[in-house]
Amino acid sequence: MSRPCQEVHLKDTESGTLVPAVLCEGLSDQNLKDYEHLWRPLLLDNAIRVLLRLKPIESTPEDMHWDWRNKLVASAQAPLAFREYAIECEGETQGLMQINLGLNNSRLEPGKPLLYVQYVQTAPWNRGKIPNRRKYALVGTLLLMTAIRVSEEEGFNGRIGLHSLPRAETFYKGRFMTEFENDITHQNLKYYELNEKSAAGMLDNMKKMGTQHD
Amino acid sequence: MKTLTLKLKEDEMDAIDSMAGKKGLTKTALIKQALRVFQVIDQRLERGEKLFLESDKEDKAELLLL
Repeated sequence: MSRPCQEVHLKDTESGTLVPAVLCEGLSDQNLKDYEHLWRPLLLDNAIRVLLRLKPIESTPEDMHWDWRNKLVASAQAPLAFREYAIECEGETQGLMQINLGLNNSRLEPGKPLLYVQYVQTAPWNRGKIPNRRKYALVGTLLLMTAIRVSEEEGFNGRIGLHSLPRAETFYKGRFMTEFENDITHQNLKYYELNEKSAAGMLDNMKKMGTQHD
Repeated sequence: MKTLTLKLKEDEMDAIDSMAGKKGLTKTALIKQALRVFQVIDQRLERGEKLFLESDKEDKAELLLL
């Protein structure tokens, strides 16, 4: 079954140019294989290097235990509430995201629903620390923009919320998301939320940058 | 996208209007969200699970589904 895909652009950090990529709704078997055979070995290798003190402790990948096949099992039990997205470029999966459109209420605007970003992950080679050099930029930003756009389409006015792994907090703070206290119901992770106004501002900025994927 | 026309009684329409207004949703968005939640609950009940509601002050209570 073919998935709805659309063209987007990632930034090649070496040349500084925008390169064509695709954003697809739904994960293909190849996305899962890329995760298992390309991403995970790199994440595990990095964790071993940290254990051997060949890399600083800050390089420990916090998401190396994630299992996307398991995440799809959970999603299949509530297919209208969960959706997955993948970004692919040069034949390889560059980013993955799972969103939840079920009963998630805003903390900034109590009583109003929002889109909850269940998981978002970029390929190890698109992070600064694993390996040392990043291949493509904008993967996380494009996935976040996709979440905002779906939130708008579903009538949630761009409101999104998520729990961030500690080393990803800077990313969300830099995108005008409001930071809440550590949440003991979610592995003590900090909760971040984007309100309607900030969501609209982010979509406008992306349009101005010419990188919006419409 | 497909279109569905609903025939509702006045009190049902009032409930949709009221909830949509309270949640800041369109009627379509409200009904779509209700369907998502219903699907989750229905599938879990079909698997033999039970649905409980819990508050800080009161004990857990099983939700009676009509």
